[in-house]
Amino acid sequence: MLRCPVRIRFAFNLFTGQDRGCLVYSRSFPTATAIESQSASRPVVLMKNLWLCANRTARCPPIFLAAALAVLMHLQCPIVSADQAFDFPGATKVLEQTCGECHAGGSMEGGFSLTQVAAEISLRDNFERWQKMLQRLTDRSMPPADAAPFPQDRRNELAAWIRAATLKAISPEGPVAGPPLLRRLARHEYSHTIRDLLNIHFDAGQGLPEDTAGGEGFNNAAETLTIAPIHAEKYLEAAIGALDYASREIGARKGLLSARPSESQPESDAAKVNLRDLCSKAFRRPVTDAELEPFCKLFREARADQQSFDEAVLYAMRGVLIAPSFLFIHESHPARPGTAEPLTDHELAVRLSYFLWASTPDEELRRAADAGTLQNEDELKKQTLRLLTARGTHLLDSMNSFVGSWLGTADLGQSKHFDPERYSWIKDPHVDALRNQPVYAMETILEKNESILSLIDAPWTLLNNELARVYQIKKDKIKEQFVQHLVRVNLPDEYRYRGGLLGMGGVLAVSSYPRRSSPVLRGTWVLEKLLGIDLPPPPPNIPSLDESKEIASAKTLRARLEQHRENAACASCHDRIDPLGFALENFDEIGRWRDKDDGGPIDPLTRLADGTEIKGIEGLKQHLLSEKETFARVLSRKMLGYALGRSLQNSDLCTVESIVTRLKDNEYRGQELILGVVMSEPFRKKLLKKEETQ
Amino acid sequence: MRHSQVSRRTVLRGVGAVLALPWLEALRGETTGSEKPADQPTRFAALFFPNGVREDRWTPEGTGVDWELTPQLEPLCGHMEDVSVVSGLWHEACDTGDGHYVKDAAWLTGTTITKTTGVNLNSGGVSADQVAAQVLGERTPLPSLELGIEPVRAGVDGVVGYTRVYGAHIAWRSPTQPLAKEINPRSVFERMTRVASGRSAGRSNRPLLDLVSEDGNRLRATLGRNDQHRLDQYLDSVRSLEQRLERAESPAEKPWKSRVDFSKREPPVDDPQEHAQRVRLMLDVIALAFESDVTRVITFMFGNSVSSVNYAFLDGVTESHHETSHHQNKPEKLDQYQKISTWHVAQYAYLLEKLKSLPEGNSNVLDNSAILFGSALRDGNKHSPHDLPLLLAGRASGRLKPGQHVRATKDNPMANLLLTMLHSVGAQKSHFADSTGPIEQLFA
Repeated sequence: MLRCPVRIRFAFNLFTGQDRGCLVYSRSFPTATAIESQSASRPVVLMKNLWLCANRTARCPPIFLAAALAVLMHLQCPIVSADQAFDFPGATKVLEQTCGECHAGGSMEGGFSLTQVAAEISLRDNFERWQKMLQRLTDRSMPPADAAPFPQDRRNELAAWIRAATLKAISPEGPVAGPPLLRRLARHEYSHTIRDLLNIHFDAGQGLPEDTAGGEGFNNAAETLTIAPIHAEKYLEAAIGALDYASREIGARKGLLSARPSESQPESDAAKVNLRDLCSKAFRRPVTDAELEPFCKLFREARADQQSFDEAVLYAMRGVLIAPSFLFIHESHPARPGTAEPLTDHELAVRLSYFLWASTPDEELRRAADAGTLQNEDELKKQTLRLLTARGTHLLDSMNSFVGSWLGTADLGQSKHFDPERYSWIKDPHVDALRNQPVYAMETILEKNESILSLIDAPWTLLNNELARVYQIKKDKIKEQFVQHLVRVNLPDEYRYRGGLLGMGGVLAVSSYPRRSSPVLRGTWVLEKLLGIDLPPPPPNIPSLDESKEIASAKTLRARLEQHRENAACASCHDRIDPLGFALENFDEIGRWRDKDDGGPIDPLTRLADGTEIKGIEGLKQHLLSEKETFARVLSRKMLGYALGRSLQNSDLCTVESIVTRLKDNEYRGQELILGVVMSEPFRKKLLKKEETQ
Repeated sequence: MRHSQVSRRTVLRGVGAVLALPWLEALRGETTGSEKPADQPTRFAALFFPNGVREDRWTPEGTGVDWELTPQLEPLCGHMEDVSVVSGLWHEACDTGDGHYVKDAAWLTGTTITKTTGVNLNSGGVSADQVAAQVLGERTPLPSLELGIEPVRAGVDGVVGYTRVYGAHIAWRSPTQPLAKEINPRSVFERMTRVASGRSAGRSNRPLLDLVSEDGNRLRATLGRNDQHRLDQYLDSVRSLEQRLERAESPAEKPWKSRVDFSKREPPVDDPQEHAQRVRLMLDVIALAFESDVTRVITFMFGNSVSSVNYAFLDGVTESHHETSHHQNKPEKLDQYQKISTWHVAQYAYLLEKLKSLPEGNSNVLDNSAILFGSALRDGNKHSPHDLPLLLAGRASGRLKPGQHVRATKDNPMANLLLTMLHSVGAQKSHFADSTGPIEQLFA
């Protein structure tokens, strides 16, 4: 609508898309979207808009129709040709053309007007708004289905330009490092660390207060790892419990007390050797004599009080396990604010280890750090791959935390319980298997360097007896043997739908109510977890759509929900949510397959807001695979946020893009995702902004 | 019921507590000039439940001492003398943001929390229980206890853009320091046992704590200001543990003594999975904490924000709490919603009964307490923060006069009620959050 006189533009706005009734129009003209998807030629646009106008003439004076036609004619002339690279004015023009009818002039649908992004500086200063536009463009929820269609290739070009331009504006130098880290160990990290440090199989962190997620949604986020007065007491108690346990285990005890007093080694020296050994492991770096002295003093005092050598050393070790240097992961401040500095080798080892194992560096990683070789890219890559694939890897511990938080499946058996009346046969082992299935899938993908798209669809899954029971899978149909442990199995055709996350009961259960599935919760889950789209909450004082179970018993849930979507205010979001959930209606609230719900046969055929048809879970998987880059972006963002243990900043999105590129260039292989994170600027370096100095 | 000033009567009433000496002296049995003997402590508790109540069957008809139980208040029938229903209050600062987190996190602060998934986490204020703990906490080994039932859900709530820290904490020691709660009754019992016995077996752990400060100070010197703050929170928690051990281990004076012999009490089941049982055991723990005097300040959360606890264990209920609260005015949903809130009131009644059965001097523990019960929403369907469902029980050692229905004019600050409670336990604040003055009718 470039340079179209304001008056006409205004008239046009009055005409189209001003009221949310537009959604109803699109539904009553079902063929329009079908035509558009085949051809985006101008005549079709014109035809459809003419149709729309005609449809409205009943209540619109002819003068508006004339004005609208004038505008439509104006649109016939392409303003920016497809092969021309965008610049800011060019992009603005396309935006005005495409979005102007609802979002320009006096018109601010959804609180958004193009005037908010009219100046080039807005790429930086109104970055969030641009990102929102980008999201609506890429998920094809804008322009709405009844607006003039926006050809897919143009859409992609514009999206790519916005992404690149905004990132360049926000971070002209490309990926930048973040601040040095200081955070306490999260509860699960504490448990794993104590286990590895003392070599005991004992959950020392069990008594610690729970952690709550922050940042990108993980429990390791520095900003939400708060400290309450209760912590000191709980840490002390945990340390005593763990050391008591270790002192009773022969192997662990020997490990802690390896140096013995002898003729050549006075007992104070032997104690010091033992304490230095634990201290340097616990503090995750070499310790100085000065640092060691207070612990040696504890030993001497205890010894003077008639404690045995062993008792006195173990007592001093309690001190090590409640020292801030142990409980806090901390990185030294860079010498010069404003200049990025590489992490020290030991700091890098700590980041790598807590990222991939959720625990303290193992001996080999410590050795590499001690030798000062970890900064070397080849060595860092080698160590990373070793942590992913080595025998005895604790990758599962870390992925348990990552996947459980990302997908919400960690709630199973925690805050999410199965209905005890209806599912009394579901016991802890079933719940554990449901919770672990996606975690093991992730581990397998990383370990075997398979495509992360296997999370969307794969010809395999993981099964054990419990899962087979929940899924009603006949064991003789599966070639591989399995009993208690989750085993990777190839899926025969009849169970093929079980491949990928969406075939997993844990995922399907956390997005259900205790006694029924919820297309709304599931649709929201798919949007949020897999496509990275956070929809706004329902407007105040409007009950959510998903509460209609008890009414209209003769109809399926879907039919009832579709009734609700007649309400235009609800439809603006639920048109995006519900169809994704409908595609999964073949699964009940615990993830079992069904062909009908209590209202009648399941109809798995749905249509997205832009007209794309989706048939059941297979259709949904195909749809998600067509959005693979978006999925890769979501997963990259999550993984980077998890690895860094903090909220991502806008500038970190450059790093996310570089990881996405790496994935695209490498068949979306899992190890590339991890390497992309580990090799990135913010993972390997620290930067103190000038204003953050003391 | 707007009060612009603190009345003379209120000031005088609080004088005793203001003059009360800290921990050591108070428990040596010295007279404090207070109107009550020093061995009758006054307690503060706040019990929170999420998701609101069925609004048309909550508020009683009649005011003053002349009021009748509504269906959801029915479980209080044996306790009408012990409880006041307070109507008409809200937190104006919480009438914003999302439907739950903004309201729940600030239930005891009366402030507006910062919208965040983590960075700049801030409640906007200190919670009333922690203000009470500043006064009452000096006299007991634990300044306060934070208890709950439900584990926190994974992830952040991307839909509304808040970290679930907010939905899981009502106690804020400072605007940036939420107090983690314990959710396993067994571990709380064990902690109290340890605290009551004074010292752990074997060698004292105090020297270890000294060392923490040493290591901490070295580390501190290398950190920026924000990070120092975080480390200081840990060092503070170490220091207060150290002080506690010091008091307990010092042979010359045994200033505090548990009023309960924990070795004679049955420990609760470890980590019970059934919701009703877990709640019941936690209420027993609360009673035991007050009875033994390990603390005088307790907050308790029946559930976290948007609690998904499945209440199908109640007859006629098929859904989770949050789902039921979005009842859309459908009779069968309202019915379930009502059953769930009635159940919560019944749990409150159980606690009151239990506290009342514990004699203390010539009264009982309930009479020496001020125990708030309520939600940060009224109608969950509308997420309405007006006219919050609030009950206040106990006489606060003779300072409160329960048994009334006090109906404030619409949208008076709930902070007035919190201020009233603070005054009743001897924390003579001139104001709290947006308070305009204590609620005079509630005082004896």
